[in-house]
Amino acid sequence: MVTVVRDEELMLAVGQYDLDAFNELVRRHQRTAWRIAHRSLGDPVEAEDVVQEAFLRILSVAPRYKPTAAFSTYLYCVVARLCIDYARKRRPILSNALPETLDSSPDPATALAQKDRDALIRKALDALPSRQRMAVILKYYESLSYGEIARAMGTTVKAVDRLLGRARKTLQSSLSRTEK
Amino acid sequence: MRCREVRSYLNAYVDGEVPERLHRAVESHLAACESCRGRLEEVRGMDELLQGSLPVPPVPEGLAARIMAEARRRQPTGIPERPASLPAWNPFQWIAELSAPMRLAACATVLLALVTGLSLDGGHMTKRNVGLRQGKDLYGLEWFAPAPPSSIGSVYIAMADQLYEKGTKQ
Repeated sequence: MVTVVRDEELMLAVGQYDLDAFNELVRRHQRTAWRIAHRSLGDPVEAEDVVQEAFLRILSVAPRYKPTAAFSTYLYCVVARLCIDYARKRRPILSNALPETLDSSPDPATALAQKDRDALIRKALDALPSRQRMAVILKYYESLSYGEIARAMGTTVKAVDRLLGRARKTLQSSLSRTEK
Repeated sequence: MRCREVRSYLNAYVDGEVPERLHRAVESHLAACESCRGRLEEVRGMDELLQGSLPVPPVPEGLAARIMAEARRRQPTGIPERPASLPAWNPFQWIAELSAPMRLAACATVLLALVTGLSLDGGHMTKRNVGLRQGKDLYGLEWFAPAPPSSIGSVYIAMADQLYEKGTKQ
């Protein structure tokens, strides 16, 4: 029977300068970090920079790591804050370029409609303030609770509620304007 | 509950984040209020629109390898760069860092303490055969710049020399 080492145990090993443990953490969590960064920034080059920087920051502070929360919480925190910082340093990218995805729909019209819809949503998300955008991504695409989002963003549950409320209102307004 | 209050909770309600005691109150209001139910459907519609959208491409090929390469570059031996080891402690470092007048004053203070101690117990020390060598040798005064004439340092050095002479004559 294969024993799976928990993330927190791997992180403690990384704190002892075990690069094999770090490699395993990267392998397990790079996809999550990439998803958040790509949806937040909309640019694959910046997203890759954020993912790399996030893991290297985790590596640098590993000797001081204490497993008081799940490693994933810590990862969300580092990635979310890096994305917000990156976004603040540049103007929103209004990208019409969406990645090609495996489309399970046999109907070309549906596929096209989906692609158009994705482009509109991308544009609407890019127009949100960086913190509202991050709250939306963590809620809708990562399915985090308000508490988890609050920890990742270094804020309160009430503030997350307000961020999501404002984001929904703005998205609704901009998406309904586009449809008209 | 009033409509305005219920609508302030709609986002949290849809997200399953409303406390249990409020959840029942919101639900019973929604059951009775068509307007708020309409608003609820708008929020749910937005959620459905967002979920399933924004596909993400696969992780770039080689990303993990690039991260590991950078990690190894920063930690070539698997050991982080530690701060440079502290220089060996030099008990006289603090003297070298003083200005010349301050150096003299420090030395004079030390000398005064020694002289006072010796003068109070000079005979006993002689009896102990500790012996007074030349003042300059005893106090290491050859390490320091000559005391300017009429300075406090020169006075103390003169006092030390007198004690030395007194000691050698006994």
